[in-house]
Amino acid sequence: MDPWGREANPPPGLVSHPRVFAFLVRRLLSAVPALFLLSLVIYALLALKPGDPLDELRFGNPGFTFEDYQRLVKLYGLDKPWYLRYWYWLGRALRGDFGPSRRYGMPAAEFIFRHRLPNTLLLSGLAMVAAFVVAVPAGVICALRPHSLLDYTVATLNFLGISVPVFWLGIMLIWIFSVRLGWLPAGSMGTPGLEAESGWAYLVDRLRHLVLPVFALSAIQMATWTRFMRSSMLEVINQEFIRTARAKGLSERYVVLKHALRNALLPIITLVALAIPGIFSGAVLTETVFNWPGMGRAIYDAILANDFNVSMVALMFISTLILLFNILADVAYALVDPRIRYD
Amino acid sequence: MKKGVLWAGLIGVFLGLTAWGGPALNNLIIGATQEPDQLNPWEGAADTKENILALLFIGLTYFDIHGNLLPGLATEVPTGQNGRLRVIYDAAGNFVRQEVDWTLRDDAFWSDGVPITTDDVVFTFEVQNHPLIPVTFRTFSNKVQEIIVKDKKNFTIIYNSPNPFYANPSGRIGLARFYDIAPKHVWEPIFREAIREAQAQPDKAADIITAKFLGADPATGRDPGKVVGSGPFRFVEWVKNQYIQVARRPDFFLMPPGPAENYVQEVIVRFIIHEPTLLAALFAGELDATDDIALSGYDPKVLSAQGGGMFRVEVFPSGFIEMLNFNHFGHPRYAPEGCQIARDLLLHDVRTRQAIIMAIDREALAEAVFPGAIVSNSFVVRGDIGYNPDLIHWPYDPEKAKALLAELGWADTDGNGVLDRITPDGRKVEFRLPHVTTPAPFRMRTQELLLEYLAEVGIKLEPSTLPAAVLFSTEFINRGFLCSWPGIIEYAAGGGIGEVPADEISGELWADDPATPVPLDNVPRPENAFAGSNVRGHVHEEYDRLHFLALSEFDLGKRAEIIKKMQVLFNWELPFIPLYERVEIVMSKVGLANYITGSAITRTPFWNAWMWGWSERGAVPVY
Amino acid sequence: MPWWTRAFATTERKERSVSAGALAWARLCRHRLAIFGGIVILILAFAAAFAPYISPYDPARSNLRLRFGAPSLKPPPDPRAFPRCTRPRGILGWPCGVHPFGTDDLGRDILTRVLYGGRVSLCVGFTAALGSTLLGGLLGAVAAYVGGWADAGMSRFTDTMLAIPQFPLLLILSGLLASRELPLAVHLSELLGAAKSIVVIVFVITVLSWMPAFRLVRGEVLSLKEREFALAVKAIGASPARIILRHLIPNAFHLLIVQSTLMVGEAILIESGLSFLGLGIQPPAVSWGNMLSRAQEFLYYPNGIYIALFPGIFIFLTVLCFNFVGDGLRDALDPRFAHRV
Repeated sequence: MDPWGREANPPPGLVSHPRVFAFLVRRLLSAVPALFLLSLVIYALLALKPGDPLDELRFGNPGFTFEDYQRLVKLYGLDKPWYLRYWYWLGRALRGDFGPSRRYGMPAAEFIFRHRLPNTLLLSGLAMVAAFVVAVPAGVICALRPHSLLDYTVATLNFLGISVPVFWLGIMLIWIFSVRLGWLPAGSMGTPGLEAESGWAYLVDRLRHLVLPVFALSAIQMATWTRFMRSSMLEVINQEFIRTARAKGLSERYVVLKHALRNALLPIITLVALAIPGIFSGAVLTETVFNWPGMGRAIYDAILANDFNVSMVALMFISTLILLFNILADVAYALVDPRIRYD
Repeated sequence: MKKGVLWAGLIGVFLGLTAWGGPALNNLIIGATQEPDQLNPWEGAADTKENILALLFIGLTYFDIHGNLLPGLATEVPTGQNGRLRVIYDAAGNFVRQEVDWTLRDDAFWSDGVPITTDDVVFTFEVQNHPLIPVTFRTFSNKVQEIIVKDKKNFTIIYNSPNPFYANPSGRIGLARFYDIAPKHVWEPIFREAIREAQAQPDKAADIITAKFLGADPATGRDPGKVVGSGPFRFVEWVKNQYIQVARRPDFFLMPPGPAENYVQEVIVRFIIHEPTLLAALFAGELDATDDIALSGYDPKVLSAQGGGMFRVEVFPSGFIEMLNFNHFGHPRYAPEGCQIARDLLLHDVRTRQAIIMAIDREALAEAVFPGAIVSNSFVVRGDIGYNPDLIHWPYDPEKAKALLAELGWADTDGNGVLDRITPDGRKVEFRLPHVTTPAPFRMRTQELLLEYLAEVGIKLEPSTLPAAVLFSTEFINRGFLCSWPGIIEYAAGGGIGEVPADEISGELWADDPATPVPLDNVPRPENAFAGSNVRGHVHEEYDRLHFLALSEFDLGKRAEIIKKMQVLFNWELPFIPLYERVEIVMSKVGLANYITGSAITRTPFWNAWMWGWSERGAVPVY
Repeated sequence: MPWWTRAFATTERKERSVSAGALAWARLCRHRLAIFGGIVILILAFAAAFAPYISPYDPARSNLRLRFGAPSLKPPPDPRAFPRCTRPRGILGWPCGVHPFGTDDLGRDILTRVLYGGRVSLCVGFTAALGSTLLGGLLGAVAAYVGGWADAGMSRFTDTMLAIPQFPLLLILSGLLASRELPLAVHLSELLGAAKSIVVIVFVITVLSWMPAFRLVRGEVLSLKEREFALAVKAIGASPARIILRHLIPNAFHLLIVQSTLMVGEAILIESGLSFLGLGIQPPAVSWGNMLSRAQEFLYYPNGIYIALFPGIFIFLTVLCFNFVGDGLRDALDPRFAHRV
């Protein structure tokens, strides 16, 4: 037994599980048919929804005659039944060709991955990082000083954070900080024409545009994770081995950092893993209010405009990610909680 | 201490950076809520693109705010007087063909310096007619028999049927439309390549055309050097979903008064889809002006109060009339099919519609729902030369409405506040009137007010909304015959006659073309596979006769007279109830000169982009 | 004790020997925030239920002369400006002509609309939360009990459901259900009329939110089914249905209760988000979400901020209180402390 009591009372989660590895492989394999099924279902729903990609053209152009419409329907293959169209789509998709966006002309994959995904990663990724960076220390400190004024203040803020509608928060923030005070810009990603200027001004401008949306988006995540971190930390602090280590006379700080934090972090890593796909799917409400051209908005617009190729590539991308991270999270959970058996 | 100062300094810099623009930099930042999908001249929703394309292209002609047609790329506007317009009849007086001569200006150049010639005209026309290109404006390209080229600057268009709008830039008529002539030297290689590939793989033809042609570099702005246009500004950059930047062309042939340096050198159009956010940016000082679509439905008095004297609010007629369209497919001519619900509600009887129009206080409704809008009784907007000022103004008279409804056999026999009657085949029906429209806020307010007004006379309105893409889909709007929208559908359409009658409201009002053997060409029914724009199903023979008479009348004054007669018929028949003429609102900073729409005929404030300037930089305010 | 601890902490405890349920209740009662939340919710629910009697106005009746009125407790001096009320005075003494929260863009009383909107929002919240929790819980219990292929299949299905992004699915579904082609959609329209959008929202939220309950209950039942009492009941020969319904699920009740309470807040937030996009409750039905959505247009109008402020406050307050109560329930029902007071 080593001086810190490790072998006698090993903390949960650090035991190796060969079964878990097999489980992981099995889950990954079975996710593949799930993806196929999902693509079929999504395509069917999109196709059954009334309207087709030509309606935008028709709506905006009173000169659009019926002959034009018939000709274009044949041209785009819209007169074929949806399962046939799905089959064509699948064949091309498996070869990596997701087709062009009917609205923008450019390849759908390029539109999503080059023009929308980076913006979403920037905004949602930053929001998640901000939430994590605030939540972990806040949760730890609150757990170390339970029932103090700080603890209750943070708890109150947490409740507030998870109760406010995010789009409302965004609108109020813009109203206060952009219109009334004029301190920060009202949405958008950057001021036009600044790329030509010096790098420093450009960087600062981009950061200014990120402040409000990141804050609005991270509020809920921050609040949820702080509460979770606090309760997870409290639970771990009460564990036997920590008491044992403390009884040995080590400084409290050391105890916290070495043992409690490591074990308290594991469940929150699970939470984070589950939240990562959320970064990629974007946040349609925040993006709308702050005029941020991201994935959430792209999917919403594509569905409304019946731009099939864009909808399909975006939805399949997100679905794949979600499936993947769910499996990873389950594995992490299994490592942590030995009660659950995966036969 | 030092750390504190550093932080304070950083924060100060951070907060202190303001948006770049305005008179200081001699540029103009405009806020818009709709962004074009791509910039190719052949395809796409016209209204969202027109503004941007008006910066980059100019047509053969253009309108000013007084309604004068002025030459753009052309040296002069063809008319009968200057001999450029010739209509040829045969011995019996039948139309044979129409010839229009055009001459391109000598000083017309593309933004990369190449002169604009008839080669471009011919190429544009060739692309428009190619079967694989999804062009949507073929209505009048179909009328063009051929284009005869005389030399690099002169050409003649021959039409095989009368086209009174041969020189009109704001209609959908091909070639005189301001962005219609495309640069051949840029687009031809792309076009040939795309067609060759599409013909080699016919089953993927549509995708190839979309990707290789419609989505090519000149259309997406990926390569700024390739985006070449004929207009007052040259393309600089397009950051998708954020903004487009253009710069003034010193070699543009239309000049504002005084040196060009006094006028804006750069224009940036910022796309902010969410209207409240756009307003926030405007009031925060980040935008200098808005386009004409962004502030639809806002109260101009409130906007100018909020602007605090920093902004000028311009309210101008949009040329659009908001309509309550009725389903007429209950008319006996469609029996035994057609829409039974509409038949039960007697919507095809003119008295029903007259009752409903008198049950609504349209003045109060317009004021509450769309401040600044003017009540309309016609399908033509005020200010248009064909507008008939002597129409019946249907008053708000609920008592008369109730009397008319009683005349039709409605009564509230069961005391539940809703009228009912017994149909000829013995069923009891209640007057429950479905109403569907887009979920725009002002339309939802309209629904709520209509609910109250109609409840007063015993009609129960059943409102619902559908997204525009669904509402305007052919599956929905063209199937009134099948009761897809059994009562009222509300939307707005252009109500001018300076437009081509075939495509605006009056294009939706005619039912049968006497020249064709097919009956009711324009009414979508199962017999004609639901083709046609008379989605209401209303038929009036005298109206149709006058419609086609006007179409072939070249003299503007005479045409206006015919259309005034059409309005008298419309005013009594009310195939749709005109609610109000929509107005558009444009806001611009005080000190910005010549940024004005002026009238419905110019349509947007972008019609004179070369004249925009800040007065403190020396721009002369002409308008 | 410092003042903040006194405010938030629980009161002194007493030793007593009572049933687990009573113990849980006692613990809950000492959780002051939960009590506060519970009282506020009851008041709101009451006010919403009795809205027609409390308010003298009709929420749909417009008064175009009183648009954008400021909040005030004084009746307007001009009797002609009085809207046509349904009664001269509400049962709590609210007289016709007084607009405590002001009036909106069509001259309708905001407080009245908030109360009526509360009916819809609370209804949607409760129903969706209850439905999704019960659905998910039942499926989770069955999956965990049966085990094997069924369990694996259900878990896979749950993963697939979780893989579908919520808003896009709602968009697609609402388009489908609005279509005239689908006989189901037409039937629904005829059956429900204006209530259709409410039913659609509840349905879609339920269908998209049962997964957390599934996982919770499944995890719990997996560990429960190996315990002595479950094995004993099985040995007696009880049918699987009986085992699940009478023995396993009741032991997971605490999870279900907490989950459904917290879910109510979430459902209300989802509904308001959907209405913001125009997909939620459709006018003329009023809900807090669609009041907020329409209010954005008027942020810059004089007194326009009130149209947005009050529904927002009420959403916030309701969700907050449900979170308080859920938190309190979670502490009260925690099985680790089942035998302690």
